Amino acid sequence: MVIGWRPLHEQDSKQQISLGIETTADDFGVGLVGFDGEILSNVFDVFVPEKGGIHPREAARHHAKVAQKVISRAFDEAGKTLKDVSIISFSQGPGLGPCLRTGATAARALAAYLKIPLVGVNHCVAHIEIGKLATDAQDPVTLYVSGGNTIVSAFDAGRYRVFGETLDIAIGNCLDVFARRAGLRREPSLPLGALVEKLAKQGKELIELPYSVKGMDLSFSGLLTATERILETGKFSVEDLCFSLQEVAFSMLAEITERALAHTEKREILLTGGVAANERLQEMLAVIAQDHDSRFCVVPKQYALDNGAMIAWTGILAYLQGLITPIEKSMVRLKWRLDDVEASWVR
Amino acid sequence: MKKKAVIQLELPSENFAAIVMRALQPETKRRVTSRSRVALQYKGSRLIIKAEANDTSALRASLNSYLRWIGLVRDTIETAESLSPSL
Amino acid sequence: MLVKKGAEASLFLEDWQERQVIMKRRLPKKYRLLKVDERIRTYRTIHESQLLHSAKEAGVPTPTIFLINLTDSNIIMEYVQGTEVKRVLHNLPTESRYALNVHIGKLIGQLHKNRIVHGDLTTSNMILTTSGEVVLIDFGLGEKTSQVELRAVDLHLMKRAFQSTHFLYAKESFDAVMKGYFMVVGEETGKKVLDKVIEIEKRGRYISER
Repeated sequence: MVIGWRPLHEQDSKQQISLGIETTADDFGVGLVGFDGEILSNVFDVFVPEKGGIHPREAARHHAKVAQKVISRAFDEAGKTLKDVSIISFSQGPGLGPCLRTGATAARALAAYLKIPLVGVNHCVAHIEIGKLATDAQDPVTLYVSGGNTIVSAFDAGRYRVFGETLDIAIGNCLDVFARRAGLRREPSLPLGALVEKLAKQGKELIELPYSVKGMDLSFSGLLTATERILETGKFSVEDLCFSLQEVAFSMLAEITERALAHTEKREILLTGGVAANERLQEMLAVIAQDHDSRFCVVPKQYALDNGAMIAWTGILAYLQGLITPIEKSMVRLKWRLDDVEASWVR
Repeated sequence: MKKKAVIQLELPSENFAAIVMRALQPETKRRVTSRSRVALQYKGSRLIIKAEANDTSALRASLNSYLRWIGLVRDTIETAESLSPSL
Repeated sequence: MLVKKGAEASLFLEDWQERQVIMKRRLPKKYRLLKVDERIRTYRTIHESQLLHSAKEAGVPTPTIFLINLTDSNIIMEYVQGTEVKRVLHNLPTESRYALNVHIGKLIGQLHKNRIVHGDLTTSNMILTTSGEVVLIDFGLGEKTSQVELRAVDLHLMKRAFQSTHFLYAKESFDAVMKGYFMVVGEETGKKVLDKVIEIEKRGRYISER
């Protein structure tokens, strides 16, 4: 275990802080979190492309450009200075190469400049940990849904085991790509997924779409293609398509979550990640939780999307177990799996 | 034929050069494109970037990335200094 | 009498025509719309019955079907006495576990060779009977196909089940399953499918546009 570089008496006298940098995809996020779990600030700047999806290099350029501004704002909002920071945490993977490397570079620079420990954090673990911190879930089955990931997991023997995941594209990606096809435009305050949700509420007719669950895994690519084809025929309204797409896709997610819950015999469901903000999905999982006498927990909106606070908090958990990442060995890990992480901080 | 480029940057201080070096060193172990390779070293406050690639576009992509990252390190350190002048 | 409450269906042990049978009932799910729910339950009930039958024809032990009731999404089938492989695997000595897994691999190979994909291969969907036979159940997510992709997904699910539930001996178990599988489908097909399994695991979960 590496001890912080400041004299111990000084550390005891004030709150220790972790600075977290998140850059796995289109968000540049910085969060400051106290070692006691208090979230002091959580600031992000999202890259909105002119058109189309995220282009990794363009997103990385955006991240490099806004880094200075976002870091400063995180300190302003927390009312802290750099001297208060004890560790630098960063999202080391999984994610888009150029984006991850940009965040990692900023994190290393800070750690080297301040001469404090660097902690590489798995982005998927961070989504689970922030959900647990915010909802006080103890040992949940977690459904983690976002633009890049769709995973059902639960803790067992030292790791978050993956019980099911998408075999092709992530649910958030499926919704986003469909939304763009339907001509919807994202705004910084309203992600595409939220637009789909809004339109779905006005949909009435359920269109038959392929439902694809394989074991506890699922596939969205066939569903997306089918929905796009129907869109092209012009026979149904975009509202009905959003409604039907959500109903089918979320039923699939709910089904595998219920299966994992039954299989693991856990008593809590945690919904986390960017798509967790969707009310229809929340509703479905709440019904399942009720059926199984389980508690339903959903990550608060401000921590649902990719954010720096979740990285900062997970960095603390790892650091307190003596896990640090030497700068020389802090290469990003593009395909770092959730179940590769030894989560020794979980009891 | 391999395309090569060497860029020498005069940085504000040796300490700064050392930080840039540490922040970017891990990246040199992985390539920006599959067709390029970059090595870094510093002497005093001078940072030397040596890039090698199979073609010019890969060479340019590599150098652009490294120059942007160096700019990012500069921005980050500037922010750090402005946030805690006494450090 | 309720003998198992799964996430998707409940199993009841009942007397029917002077014998003990299992009634598998797919229960309505309140979380999904009625129309979606009915479609899924009916589809799976039909599918499961067909595949249980085809598998048996292909020489893979499955429960015999006695009656299908589509109105309530029920299947009445043979009561297979035994223990879920999930519950026996960790108690077995290494050699017996190996032999059992090779046998399971052969059964999967036999299914695939006969254009059947199970769709939900886990150790809870395999029953080790008192006579030492392995009976496969739960074909509701299965398909009639010889697509390499779907065969690979089948094996991927098996691997996943080992990793999530039998993680202490996941690798040796999957390797043994593959050994049995290769014995039945042959080197060429086996390799094609195994390569696909690896590809699925490495697959990115993200497309930017298309």
